[in-house]
Amino acid sequence: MPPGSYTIMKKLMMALVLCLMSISMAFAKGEKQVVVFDVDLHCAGCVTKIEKNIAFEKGVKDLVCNLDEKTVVVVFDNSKTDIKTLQTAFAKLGKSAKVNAKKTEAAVKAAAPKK
Amino acid sequence: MKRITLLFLFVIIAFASRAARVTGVVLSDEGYALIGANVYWANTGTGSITDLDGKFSLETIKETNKLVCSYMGYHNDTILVSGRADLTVVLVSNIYLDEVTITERKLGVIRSRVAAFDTQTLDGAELCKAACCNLSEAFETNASVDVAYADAATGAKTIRLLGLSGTYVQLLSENTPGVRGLAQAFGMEYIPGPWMQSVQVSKGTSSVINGYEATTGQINVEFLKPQTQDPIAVNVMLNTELHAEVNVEGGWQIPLKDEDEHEHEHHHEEGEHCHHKSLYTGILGHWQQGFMTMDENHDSFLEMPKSTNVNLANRWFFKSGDYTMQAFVRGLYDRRLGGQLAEMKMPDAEGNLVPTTIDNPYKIDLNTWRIDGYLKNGIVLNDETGSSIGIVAAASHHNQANAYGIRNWNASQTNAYLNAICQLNFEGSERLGMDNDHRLSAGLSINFDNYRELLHFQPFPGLTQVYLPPVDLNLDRWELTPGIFAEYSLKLDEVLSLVAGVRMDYSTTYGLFFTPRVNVRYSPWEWWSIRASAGLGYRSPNLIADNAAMLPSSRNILTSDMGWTKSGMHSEAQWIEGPAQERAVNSGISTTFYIPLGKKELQLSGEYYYTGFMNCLIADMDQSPDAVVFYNLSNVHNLTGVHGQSYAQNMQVEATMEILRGWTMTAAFRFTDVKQTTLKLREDAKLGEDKYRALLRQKPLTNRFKGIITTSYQTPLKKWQFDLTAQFNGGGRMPDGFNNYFLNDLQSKQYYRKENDPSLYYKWYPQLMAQITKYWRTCSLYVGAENMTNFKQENPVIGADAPYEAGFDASMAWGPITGWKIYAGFRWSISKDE
Repeated sequence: MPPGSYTIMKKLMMALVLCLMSISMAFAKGEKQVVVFDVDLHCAGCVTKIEKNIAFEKGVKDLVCNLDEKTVVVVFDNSKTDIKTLQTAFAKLGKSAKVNAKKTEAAVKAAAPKK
Repeated sequence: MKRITLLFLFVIIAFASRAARVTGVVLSDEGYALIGANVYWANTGTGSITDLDGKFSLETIKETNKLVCSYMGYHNDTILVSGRADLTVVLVSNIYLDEVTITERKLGVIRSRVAAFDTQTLDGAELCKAACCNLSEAFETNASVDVAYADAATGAKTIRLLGLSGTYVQLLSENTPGVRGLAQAFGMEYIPGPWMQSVQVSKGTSSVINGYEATTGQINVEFLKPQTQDPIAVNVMLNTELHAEVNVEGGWQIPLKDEDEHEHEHHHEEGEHCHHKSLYTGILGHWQQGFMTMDENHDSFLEMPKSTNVNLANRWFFKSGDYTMQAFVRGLYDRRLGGQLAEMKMPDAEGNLVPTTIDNPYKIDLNTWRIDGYLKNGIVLNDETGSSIGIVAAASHHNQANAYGIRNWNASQTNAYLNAICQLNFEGSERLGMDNDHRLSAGLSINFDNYRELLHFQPFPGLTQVYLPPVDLNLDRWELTPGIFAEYSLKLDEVLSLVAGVRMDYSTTYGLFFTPRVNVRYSPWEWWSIRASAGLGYRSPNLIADNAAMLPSSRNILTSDMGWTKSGMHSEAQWIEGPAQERAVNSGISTTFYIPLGKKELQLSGEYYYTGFMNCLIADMDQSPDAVVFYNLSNVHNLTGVHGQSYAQNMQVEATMEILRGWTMTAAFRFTDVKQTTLKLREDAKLGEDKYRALLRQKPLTNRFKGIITTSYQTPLKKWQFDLTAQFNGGGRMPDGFNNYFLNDLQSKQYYRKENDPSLYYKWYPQLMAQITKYWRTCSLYVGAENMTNFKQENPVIGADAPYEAGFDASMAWGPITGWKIYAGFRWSISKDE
């Protein structure tokens, strides 16, 4: 590797990181909210279906399907969407999504920054 | 153990659908609906079979609440049903398909945990990691299978498994004969990437059910199935070499008369419908075209031929009660135009590129037409145990007209194959105190091959220094091989699996032969397993097709002097005795540790495989750079008094892990030692002494080692995926006769010599490839780069300036021929349930 290339690579990496950071800053206008839904997940097929579709709903930031517990954890930007809109999106896929209050509370606590 | 128990059984009790009824769905561990799976109340005759969506519906009974699910090739599962239930039962396969790993990110390559065979399954996710235009490229991110250019002029890629050529791997398409015989030269490219649903790679000796041919392993390709594939899927790809590709696939159900309209409405309460007839059809289409002629190194030879490939398949799936039928038919046309063009840009004395006219250009024109197909019939004999009968008939006709300069290789092959198998499953005995399953499979097979083959070539006065007339080597031949086989499988809990098989075949060419094979897996603890295998493999060698890479060269093809053809040196040369059957023993041992690290699991595996030939056809390129001399390994003894050897040893270590959520990584290293005995002319031999001496040497153009690191990251919402694969390949021996050319004439830094060793070696080389994929709801876009290190083999075409004279050789390929390239592609599909 030529001598200068290491520093060039480093600079490029820095630029990339800064770029990514500014993108995420630009998007994160509202607050992130966590909700845990009870969803009638049957199989890996249902999971794929949800991952393929709910992930592309506006405002969805993260998504974890749990087939064992039949829950779907959704992290969303509350300035762009709300629980009702998400439930409608699930309904479109033929899935009912009920808010699991207990688990949601636990998830909110776990996600809260430790001080 | 808990995790594995979970794999066995996913019972999810949801909303009750109807009183006193149990409904549910049976799925494979890959998530596909299992059609025709048996669902019955334990120790009663009451039960049902799942329908085309894997769904069932049963009346509950008073006697028992134990519901048994079984399916051929999968472990039985018993579920306790409490009250009303909508069940999902996931069955774990016990032979070819493997376990699901419940990591958050599903690994693209799944190594079997429970099967006795050392099998890796490359699923759709893995196949999408690279451009994967065809089967050969499916292995670019795989540690076990090597992909390389066969030669420097035709663009053909070949694979290697356990250090040996792909010809020793049995290539099956949906467990019927796939790439065999003449197709072996370019056949990997006849299987388009987007058609493949999954690929199973079994290392070492494999099941006898599919024949005696698998020596180093077995690769089975499963195509998209009309029952599960999307109604329409389109894939378009283009790369910087202006090579374009379009793939279109689709699968649909054809409504039959007795199936009425409520089929769709009551989707969840089927079950009574399982005895109804249903019919599906699917279409697979592929077209590719090269638009650019490319001569990057300006040696007047195109690195990649301009190719056209049209490939069309139609398949059918029919089910009525216990009877299932599948049919597949495919037509193919492939043309490659390579070599020299009449007008090319060549560098002048100052190095500027100027248009140059080439007199009498060396043209490579390869034309292939092929049609193949199969018909599979299956009948379930016993709903409870899943015992069944299967009959498979397959046929193909392959026709090719190939020209390499003034060499012509015109050939056709007709193949017919029939396999009838009966599988009996036995319930285990309770006295053993553990879950024990037994299966006996037995059947018969018939294989027929008819070859019409003619090779026309002009021998060059290299060895003999005299002018020789052109040769017409006629290799017409046929072979009929009926055989019988039996295989026993045993499974004790998760602890022990054993598959022992034997077959007996009679070939009209080679007589009677016997193929025993055994595979065992033992896993006393959840975190450790060990596998061992041993078995025999046989092959009928194809002189030209197995060694088609030698054709773009002026090497004389010598079959004389070795006693099995009258003479390859005269125009009336005829096939008299032919090469002897290739026979080999393969044995191996492998071990895997599953080490929990936090919530993740590290898989560490190590393996050793040995393949030893009792006989093989040797294509000896060491005797002279002007010739390739063919003889049987068994002839070495007659000529020198020394028993010839040919063997391959492989040692591989591999580590795989999901490091962070969505980030997986695999690192592997392999050491390969392939040696064979070849004959060397003794110049000092006196009258009455042996003319040759035997030398055990490293097999030329075979890489000594390979290292690979492949890593993949998927964002939490699976909208983006990043893949990166780094490899180093190489270090290997060149055939004799090029020391002076590469070291002195070319001053190449890619080669070196060892002290006190007359051989020339090529150095190792690095490879880097990457791909970025962006997913949307119905489509995805991918951009990738291959050979990012831009490493190229220097002067891959030797003697390119005089291709009609002795010394021209485009068969000495060991590394990449073309430099970096970028490709981009687009996939779009309509999802099945929308």
